[in-house]
Amino acid sequence: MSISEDKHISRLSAVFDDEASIEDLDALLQESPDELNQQLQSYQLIRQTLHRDSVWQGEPLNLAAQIRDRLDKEEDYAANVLPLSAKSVPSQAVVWRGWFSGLAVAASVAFVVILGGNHLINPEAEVNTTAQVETPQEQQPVSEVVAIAELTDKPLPADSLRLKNYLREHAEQAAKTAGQGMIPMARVVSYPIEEK
Amino acid sequence: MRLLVVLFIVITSCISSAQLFAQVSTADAIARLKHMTEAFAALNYEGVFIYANPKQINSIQVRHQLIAGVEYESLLDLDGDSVQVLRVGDRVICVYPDKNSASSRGPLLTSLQHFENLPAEQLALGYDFVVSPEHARIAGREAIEITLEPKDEYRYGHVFWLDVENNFLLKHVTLSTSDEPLERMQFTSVKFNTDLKAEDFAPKKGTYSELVHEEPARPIKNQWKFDWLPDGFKPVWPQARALNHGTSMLLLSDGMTTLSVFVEPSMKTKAMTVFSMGATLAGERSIKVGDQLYLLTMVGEVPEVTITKLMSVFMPRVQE
Repeated sequence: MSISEDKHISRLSAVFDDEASIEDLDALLQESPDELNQQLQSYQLIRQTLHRDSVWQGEPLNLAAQIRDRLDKEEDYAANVLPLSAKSVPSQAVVWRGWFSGLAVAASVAFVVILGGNHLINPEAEVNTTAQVETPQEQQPVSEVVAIAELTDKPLPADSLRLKNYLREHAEQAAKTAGQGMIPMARVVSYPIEEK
Repeated sequence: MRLLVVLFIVITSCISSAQLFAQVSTADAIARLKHMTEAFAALNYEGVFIYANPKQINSIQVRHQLIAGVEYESLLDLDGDSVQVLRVGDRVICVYPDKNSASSRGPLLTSLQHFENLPAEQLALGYDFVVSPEHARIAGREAIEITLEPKDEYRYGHVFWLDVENNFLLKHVTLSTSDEPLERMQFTSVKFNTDLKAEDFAPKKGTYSELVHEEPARPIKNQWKFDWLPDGFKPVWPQARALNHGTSMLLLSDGMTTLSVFVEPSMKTKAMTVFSMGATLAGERSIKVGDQLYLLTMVGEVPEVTITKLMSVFMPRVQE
């Protein structure tokens, strides 16, 4: 394998590992679109197989074109959303723009590719890859039932007040939404009131 | 052989009668519940009802009158601080015994809002309806009893007693999954066809009144979703609503009960905790999305299993 081939594979791998720089992406997009597309799809297929994702059975998708399209959009976005202060100081704007667009492009392309695992290949599929919910490590999975009336004795006044506000908001919305008449309102009266 | 045929006819006709009764019962119950929701705004009335849960009991006076096409409504807490909420048309006024109590309490409640439609099909997904053939007597009025039996463990049961004449709600009991009463609302006295005047709704001398400014809800893009919902539950709003301090609120309902969801960015972790009062439960826990911590709070009149399960299937929507 030549050095250039080695570099090419390394760039492709970087795209799928969310580590591609703007230079990597530019270099890849200079290559033959058909060949690049075929390689990207092969990588995609391997990735799907490894992760046991559903494999797209329809017409082949043009991943390279989608990445190029996203890159173009990011360029437009970066050019148009500069703050007024940055636009009025060209020298600063140039530096900032380069830094900003580099980050934005890298993040956005990574997004495209990761989503491609299901979303671009199979738009019907639900994707949670970029949006996993974790339970914080220091959190103990304890379920404790506490009477709301006891909240006034709790040493967390801010939390207690917040919860009471939520109870009130809930009761007001419930009265507008569900068919229970004045019952949600009657509940509000019974909620303990925090004295300021 | 003949005996078998007769037996078959008797059994099938019994089953058909039971099915027919159930269908009539459901249709009758839904029709009456629809009338109940309309009765709050359509009738003129004055009465006192109590609200009780295992921890406390409150009595509240309610008055409602249409005067020259304008709706007048008053809710007065008869226990404690005598805070009153007046609604005249779409203006809500909160009346406190004095200025000091006004500064120490938020509005008691906004007003007795009116719901548009009873979602019959949605309700039927979560409940069976039973109309009792026996009439009861509540606050001196003849009442018909309608029970909403939950079809699963994710919601409570409800029993409504409606006035036979006008379908006004006279009594309501929320039942736990083991059929224990969790809360009760019941009129102790009620009078219909009242002839109240505008001055009957005027705040008393010496009290302190404040016009309640209701901030219009600010709809925002809903960034969150549930991976699972109990049958019949669905979002009430197509979008989320922005509250103060970056909190987003979502609302779920099965047509009878509601569940509010609050999500806000947080700095500290919080273990799963469930608070209870009567039929209302509030659950809290921290969730982490990427590097960001969020505090998730759910409030609703649903069993603990529903809150804890929904908290475990709550997740961000993927950006599109």
